[in-house]
Amino acid sequence: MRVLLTFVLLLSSATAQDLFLPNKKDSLHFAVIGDSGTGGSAQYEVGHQMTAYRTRFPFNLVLMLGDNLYGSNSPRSYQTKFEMPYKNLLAGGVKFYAALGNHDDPKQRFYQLFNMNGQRYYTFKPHDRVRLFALDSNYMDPEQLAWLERELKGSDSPWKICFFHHPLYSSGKRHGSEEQLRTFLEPLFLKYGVKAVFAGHEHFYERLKPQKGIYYFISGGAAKLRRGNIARTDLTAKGFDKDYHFMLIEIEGDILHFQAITRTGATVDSGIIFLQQENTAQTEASSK
Amino acid sequence: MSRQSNYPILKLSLLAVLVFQFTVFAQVETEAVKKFNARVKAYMELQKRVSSNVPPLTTTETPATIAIRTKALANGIQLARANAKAGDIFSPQVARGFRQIIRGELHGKAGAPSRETVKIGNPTEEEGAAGKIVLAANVSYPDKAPRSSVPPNLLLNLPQLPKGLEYRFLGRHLILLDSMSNLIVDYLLDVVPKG
Repeated sequence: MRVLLTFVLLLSSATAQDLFLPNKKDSLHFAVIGDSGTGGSAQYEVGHQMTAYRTRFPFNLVLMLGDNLYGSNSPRSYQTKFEMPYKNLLAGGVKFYAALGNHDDPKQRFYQLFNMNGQRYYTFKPHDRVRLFALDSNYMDPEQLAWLERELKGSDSPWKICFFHHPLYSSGKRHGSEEQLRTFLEPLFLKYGVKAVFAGHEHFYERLKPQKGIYYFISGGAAKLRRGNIARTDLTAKGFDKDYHFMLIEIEGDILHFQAITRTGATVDSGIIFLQQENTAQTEASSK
Repeated sequence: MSRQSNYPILKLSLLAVLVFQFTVFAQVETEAVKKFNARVKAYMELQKRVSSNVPPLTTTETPATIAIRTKALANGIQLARANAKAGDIFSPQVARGFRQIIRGELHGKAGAPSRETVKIGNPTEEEGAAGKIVLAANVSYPDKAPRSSVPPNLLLNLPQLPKGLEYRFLGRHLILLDSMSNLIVDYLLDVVPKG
């Protein structure tokens, strides 16, 4: 099934704590954070803002895009760089699902609150129409590639979404696109209809223009920030490298809504992606 | 005999040399892989023996459990391999085979993307992480140090490792890392081509 996605940018500047998501009862709600594990004040501020938004947009699931614990992976680090910054969310029953970054000890997979069930890569289905795939992009060995192909092939979920640490496309001056990883993953994404991909590693927000019909987001600024690090490239649909941020996502039937929000509650990007059957729509992108 | 008529002979000769070299390389690689796999198997048996004396690692809400188990496993392996040294796994023959494989993937212009991949997360490339790792067999990989990416194409060509062992890079050196104990099992110096 070839899926065409329609994309409309709603607003590029908005006031604090505006919500640009439909917030429907039966849709899937989740948040996305990347490069979050510093234990610094910015991480706490983002955590507070996520908690504030959750009162208006109830979500029970957070994707972590890697670098979940910078520096030491000691027991104390799990507290100061994860449990305390997201204390209110954890207390509210929110489940975090982690992918591994280059700063993460792979044994984080045994930490129950990261919901990896002891696996470096895993998949889960939080909604009838949505399947998520967490990958270990540090170590894309043949076994993982075979597993991914098997799982993608076997999934009948219309929304197949992958999340991992290293971005296949990026306008970052420091890192840029992970072209080698792309060589291996992109063919599988295309073959089995992956619709959206979330990555971190770059310490900013970037929404890429659709690449071969797939929507890529970089959200690596939940506690780290590289100001002014987004280079001018043809890849960028929207970039933001001036403050820390997180994302909120809602999947409502054939529509994925997204919103990127700073630690102060300002919306820096929002929009929708349509999932449609073959030959029924044109891919379109516009921004206001 | 004209110069032109010599070309086919020259080409055939070159081809023969290339085929011979390839065959020799392939044999070296095959033998190296066999020896490497046998040494890895022996290491994993040792790790398994030590593991049976420490608490099993299962999913836990208590990170201290992970840390305690890791330390206990590391202590046990360090004791069991008290005389471990560089080359125990990467013997000279194994090392030659590995260097060929790595050079094949990381050398020259074609290998440039792979060399870039090796830099990702590499402690010598990360801010503030360089110069803190003691490179020796049977010592702990520091808790605070990031871990390098390993090019997928290289992982396709290197011998596959059992769960719990990983290839990683430290600068231009390849390390064999026991990810359950955080111990550097062995290493190979300067395997990544410069440039």
